[in-house]
Amino acid sequence: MKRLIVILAALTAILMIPVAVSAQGYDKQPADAVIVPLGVAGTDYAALEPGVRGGTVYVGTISNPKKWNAVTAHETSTTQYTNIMQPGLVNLNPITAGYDPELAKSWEVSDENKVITFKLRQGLKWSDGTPFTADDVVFSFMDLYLNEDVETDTRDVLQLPDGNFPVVEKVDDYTVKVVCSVAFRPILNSMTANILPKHKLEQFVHKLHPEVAADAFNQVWGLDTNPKDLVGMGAFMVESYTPDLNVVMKRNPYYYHYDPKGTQLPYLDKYVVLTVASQDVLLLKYQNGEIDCFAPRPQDIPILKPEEKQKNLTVLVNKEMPGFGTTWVVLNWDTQDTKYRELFRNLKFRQALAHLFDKDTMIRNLFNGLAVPQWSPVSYLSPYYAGREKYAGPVTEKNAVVFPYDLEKAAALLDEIGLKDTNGDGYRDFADGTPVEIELNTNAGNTTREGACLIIADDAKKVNLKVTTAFIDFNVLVNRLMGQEDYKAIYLGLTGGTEPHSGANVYMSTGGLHAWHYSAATGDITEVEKRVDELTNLAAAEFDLDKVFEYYKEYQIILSQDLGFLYTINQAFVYSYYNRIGNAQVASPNATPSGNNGLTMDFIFRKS
Amino acid sequence: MGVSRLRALGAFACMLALFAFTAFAYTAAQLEAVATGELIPEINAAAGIALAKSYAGTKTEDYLKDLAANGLTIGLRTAASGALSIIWTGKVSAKTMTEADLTAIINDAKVAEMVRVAAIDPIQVLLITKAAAALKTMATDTAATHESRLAAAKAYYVKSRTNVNIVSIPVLEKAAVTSESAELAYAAGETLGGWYLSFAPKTQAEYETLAISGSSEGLRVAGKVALTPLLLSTSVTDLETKLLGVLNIKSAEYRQAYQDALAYQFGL
Repeated sequence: MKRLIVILAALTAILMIPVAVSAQGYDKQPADAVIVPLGVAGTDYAALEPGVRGGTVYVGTISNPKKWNAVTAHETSTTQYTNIMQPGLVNLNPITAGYDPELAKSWEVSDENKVITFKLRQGLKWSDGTPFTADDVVFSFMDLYLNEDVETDTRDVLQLPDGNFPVVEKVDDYTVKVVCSVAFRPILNSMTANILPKHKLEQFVHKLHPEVAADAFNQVWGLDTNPKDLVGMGAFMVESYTPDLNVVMKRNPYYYHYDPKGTQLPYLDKYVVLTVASQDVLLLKYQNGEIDCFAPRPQDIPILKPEEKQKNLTVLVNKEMPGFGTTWVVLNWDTQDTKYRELFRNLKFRQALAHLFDKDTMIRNLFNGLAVPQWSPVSYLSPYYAGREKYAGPVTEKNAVVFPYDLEKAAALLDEIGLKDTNGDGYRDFADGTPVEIELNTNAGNTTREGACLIIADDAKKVNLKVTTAFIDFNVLVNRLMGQEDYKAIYLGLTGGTEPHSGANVYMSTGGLHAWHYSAATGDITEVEKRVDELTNLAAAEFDLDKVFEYYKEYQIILSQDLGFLYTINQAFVYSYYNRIGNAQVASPNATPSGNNGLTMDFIFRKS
Repeated sequence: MGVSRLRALGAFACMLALFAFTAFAYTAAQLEAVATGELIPEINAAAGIALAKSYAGTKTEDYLKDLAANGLTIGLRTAASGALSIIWTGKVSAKTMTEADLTAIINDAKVAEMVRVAAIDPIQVLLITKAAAALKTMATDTAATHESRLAAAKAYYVKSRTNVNIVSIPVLEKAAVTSESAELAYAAGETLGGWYLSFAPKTQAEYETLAISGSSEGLRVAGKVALTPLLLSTSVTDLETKLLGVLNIKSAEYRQAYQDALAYQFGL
């Protein structure tokens, strides 16, 4: 029986109230504008308030962006800008983390969950004034994300359980149909993908213009692009970029979000991201009031807390709420050195390393107790987290895969695989007598990660394993992690969310960020990887959430036992902002005013 | 004793007139009047702290340097010094002021004290990129000025905060008493106060006792840092009355806690 589900998505969050006002870019408010119900009782936004237009909010980061191309980006140093510039058909609600209509105003699911028809908002324009239509949506999916010439991780999260990809068709100028060969539960998650302007970018797509090189699109919208050529639908567009100094974003006059009073959003004229050398500098700049919002680490709290009221700022600490995302150490199973390749592929070596992680010391020394040990690839806050009893159930950690800190066990495992000190220098060697030396990298300036690396290296020394540390630029680190440069071990983190399928680009054997073992995509696949692929597809095809939970439980357990990523620590939610920034209290693990998903930037404001 | 009491009473009477507007927001002119005419140094200085932002937006750098050096009251010198600090922080951010520029100010004994003080916060943003060991060396350099050592000491404790944890609070307590330099002990005390507030809270009475009779400047600073946030809800009148009542308490740190709370209440 054909089932038709009409989803009035996030009706509580987004009210469609046409209000005629004069807008900077639009002659009048588009009929399909999004009204963010700030302060409206009974909505998710009831606790917030309508703001005032004008001003600039300053935030900070320790990395330059790599590019402005949302499609080919892998790293938050880039997506923290592209997510603001280019929204998707649907977007995450910054308060509930549910799915809200964004460029789409509604959708219908039919044909046993295999077809989803999106009605697009009408009358919207790109930041250069060009009308937004279904052509842009079809272009983004069919000519970019699903184009083999284009390097993108998004293709991994669009892949259907049967290995095919959705087909995105234009029905009319304001309707698109997404047709799947099989039912695909995480389809809305996949539809959060950024939509890009066809009129600006089609000229770089070989498939549409054979005269350009096949990889032409991958080079588009690099950092050398004139900001005037960047076009988006989001709240802000890049106005200027100065390496190692700042990215200045200015309000998009054609943004289509309004407040209940009819004021076009964003409230701010500008959103400036300062680039500084380290988190230490960020802290001092925040103390000086040079930046308005800041994600402190636990060790920053004793410095900020005494100033909280004097400087009229708020320090949010929620010990019970670890953030989304994961932090881990990854070993390069594909490193060019065959001895290390063999070593890193040895599960016993990875187990030995896991037993060297003194997570209690990390939590105490680096996080002041404001963190929990992490063991799973799925975020603690997700209803699918295997530490829960059942889907969305209480966290009991009954299923946790734990490698306790145990130097004796680590040493025994290293002995077992034949790593012994053969030359008497105090460090273990390979069986052929060559020394074992592993360089552990993380991004320079992230003092918490640097501290964790030093703790690991120190404990490794206790079992005569030589681990050195080198802290390098974030974007260089990303290149290594992407396989563009060789490396041995990296300490880094990934963003996360409630839907585990968003990690398909990492955990599936063919994923574009399957960082420990890219060669799996070429057939060098392990039994665990095969099973993870199967479970990912089973979970994607299943709509009974209890069954999905069971699939993801096994997925988490076997991934954690296999130690492709060796998980470390999950920090509790800590955030701070000056009270001069209106609506900043919305900050949560879902979204913060300085966060990388861009979900709050349109309704934060500077109080007069 | 008799003279002190008379001065205090005189000041109190004066304050009543000056602070007839306590229920209202303070204007820059009103604060300037307090910073110029108030006799109690801590109240005078509190007005100066509150004035700094206004001065940063309205006065020239040269004027402020002169006022910081030659202002007739501690309040005016504090206002000018704070304003210079704000201006220089902005210049560092815009990369129009370098570490060398600030070092030339902070480490020149011939430069007026309150001008050197203005450089302490802005230079930290630049110093923080140095290794902790280098900062510690700077903080103990007897050839440098007190302000230069203090800036390095503060940066050192920001830099090395990742090495501090709840278990090591006693280490900080010891460092606030005995360090390689007085500036390092002072900065250790500041850090310690934050730790008390954040992860090992004590009562207000305990902070008061620490600020008054801590066995070292560093410990008294820790008491002050932890005490000040607890005073911020106190009314201007009560803070002023308190400051009048504690003039005979030797601990400058204790009086500064009330001074800083008053500055907060004065805040523009």
